[in-house]
Amino acid sequence: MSARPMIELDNVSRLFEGVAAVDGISLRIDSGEICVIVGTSGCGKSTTLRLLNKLIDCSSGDIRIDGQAIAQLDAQRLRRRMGYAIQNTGLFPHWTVARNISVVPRLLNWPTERIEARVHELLELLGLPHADFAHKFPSQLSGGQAQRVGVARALAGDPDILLMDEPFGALDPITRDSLQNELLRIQSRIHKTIVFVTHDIDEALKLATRIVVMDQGRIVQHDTPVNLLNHPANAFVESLLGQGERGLKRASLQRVAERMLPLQGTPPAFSVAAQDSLRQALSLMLWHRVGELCVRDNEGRAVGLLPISALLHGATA
Amino acid sequence: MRLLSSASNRVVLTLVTLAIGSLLLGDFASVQANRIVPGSGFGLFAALGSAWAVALLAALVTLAALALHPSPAGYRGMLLLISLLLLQWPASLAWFIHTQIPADQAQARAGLATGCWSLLFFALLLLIEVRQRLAPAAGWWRLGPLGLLLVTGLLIYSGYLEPLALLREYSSRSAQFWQALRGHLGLVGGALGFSLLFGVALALLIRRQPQLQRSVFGVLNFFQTIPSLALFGLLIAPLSYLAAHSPLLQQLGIRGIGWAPALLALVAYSLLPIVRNTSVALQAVAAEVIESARGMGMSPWQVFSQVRLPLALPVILEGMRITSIQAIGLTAVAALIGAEGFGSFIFQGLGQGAMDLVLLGALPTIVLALLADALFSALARYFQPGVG
Ligand SMILES: Nc1ncnc2c1ncn2[C@@H]1O[C@H](COP(=O)(O)OP(=O)(O)O)[C@@H](O)[C@H]1O
Ligand SMILES: [Mg+2]
Repeated sequence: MSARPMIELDNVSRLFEGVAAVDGISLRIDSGEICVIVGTSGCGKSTTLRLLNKLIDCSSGDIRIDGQAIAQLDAQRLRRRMGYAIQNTGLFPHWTVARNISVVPRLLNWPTERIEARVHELLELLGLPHADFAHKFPSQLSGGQAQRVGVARALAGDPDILLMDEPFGALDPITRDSLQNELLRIQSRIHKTIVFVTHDIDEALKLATRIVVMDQGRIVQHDTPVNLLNHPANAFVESLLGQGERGLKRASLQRVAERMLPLQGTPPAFSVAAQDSLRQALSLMLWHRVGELCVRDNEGRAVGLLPISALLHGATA
Repeated sequence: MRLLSSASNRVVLTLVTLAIGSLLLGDFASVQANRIVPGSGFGLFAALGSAWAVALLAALVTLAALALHPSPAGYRGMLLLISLLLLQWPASLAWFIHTQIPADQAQARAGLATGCWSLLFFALLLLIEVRQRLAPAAGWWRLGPLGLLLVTGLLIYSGYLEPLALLREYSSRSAQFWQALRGHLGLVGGALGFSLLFGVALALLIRRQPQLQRSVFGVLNFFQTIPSLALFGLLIAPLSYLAAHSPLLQQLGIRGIGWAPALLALVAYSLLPIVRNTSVALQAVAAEVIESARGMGMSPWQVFSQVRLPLALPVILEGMRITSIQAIGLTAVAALIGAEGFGSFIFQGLGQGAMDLVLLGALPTIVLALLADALFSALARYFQPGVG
């Protein structure tokens, strides 16, 4: 991860009718990060995000994007450089999928062929075949498909920064899970700087390189998911993490491959994949009532052994 | 489907019974020796002769029989019979005229009586009912009404329907008729144009200055409560006064009576539906759609012209539909203060007790209203978001 700061907030506040929705926050988000802002509803997450693309202005403090103070930048030009995806998609119901995706490229006056190529590329990237989807209207899409189009639209202008406000919040758990995986897959190819807002701590732990926990307009903790789990800053973060679930949450952040031992003798009857999480491995052990699993790689070869004791020892951070 | 088709179709049965009843009980048509003398009525059999009358009744009875145990094939049969009923309708009139009015009597005229009108009315209702039952089976229900128009047109063109009272009234005033059409359309179009201009401007003003909303709607609602005749009348005095003191207004042809007060009153009535629909429609566009439009980097004008307005358009068009139908009706009333339009025939006819002249004004007014309804409904459907 490069250490160049892409987004910097310096003691930023925003008041609504005298009440601070965002209260003196300072934050540095490096290029290529997925920074997830998490917190209970009304704590100022959306307000923080909307300060970044100047949908609302700061009451005090400075925000710099790629070193430039946004107070000096034209709001519309700034927004065209940042992707923006929101809950319930906000797709334009009177335009086709292709027209929706091409909004920002059109605003940027790209030539027609480049826009068409871009729409094609993005639909394929999000697993929506161009022939089937380009000419559909938003009302003809499922919730998951519509949100994919929302993400494609946010990426269309090839922005350095992607702002996402609870984009998967209205989806069912299975669709949400697959879109989260999709986002991680895409990010591993495009390396944008992503600021992602959610109230779902599991979503935050799964997606984030670093998590910002907010409470009543302030930042309570800013750290990596593992550090957050191991060293919650206060009781609020602990309760957000869910006391009884912390062990499982941490286990879901770690891969079997990190803990497996060399294979000796005959491999056990039940197997787990090397890239699965420790949480999945534990679940398999509980289910099959066994104390050890055979670890297999992508091709199905037995590559290691995972005894239950390996879940208890080993590095924790 | 099974449930639907196994029970008899009561709507069809009722309509057929009513049609047969009015054919047998009322007069079918009438003949007047000239415009002044009272006419003499002809029952169904006397008017069309027994062969035609029996065939007509047989068709209706068959329709009823098919409706007792309707099946898809049965409905297609009904549709066929209804189409035939519609097609024979103008022909039966021509036949009546041919047999009852000697060609050398240039003053004699034929009138439609209850039987004839009810047959047309019930046949159209039957068509609507049966068409619903054949839902997916597209276009050919249109053949009946289109054929009716075509046959009527041909019979009028070839002169067979010439002695029809309505046409006698028309031919003695054909120049006035087209003048009235132009006048009527001109007033309605003008009212629609002006109220669209002012209405949208007012709606935008209300969006900017929400505190004006109450007073604007207060005034517009007040206009709607004034009866149209009273409003037309109220405008005569101030306009006469203004015109008498302003040569410019005189040059423009503005007087206390005529098109000027009519147009003013029409615009006053039209503003409410347009302002209300426009402001509601602009307001109703989903907040997250506007949020993402702004978040993508659209300028305020782009948000309005590319997102808010197109999404509001169907509801605005609905306002224009209401307005145009209302204006078409009110323009007829405006004849009382000397505005051109079909209303002049209606009021002349009422004054002279000539119902056919009333019809000559009323029928085109109704047709115009139906056309406006169809046009704006189609436009609203066309601009409905998200239908490819
Ligand atoms: N446009 C606004 N006007 C007034 N108050 C606002 C506005 N936007 C947000 N707020 C208030 O600011 C606080 C934080 O809101 P928000 O950032 O939307 O919270 P969330 O973390 O749920 O996204 C809330 O108390 C909300 O009521
Ligand atoms: Mg929010």
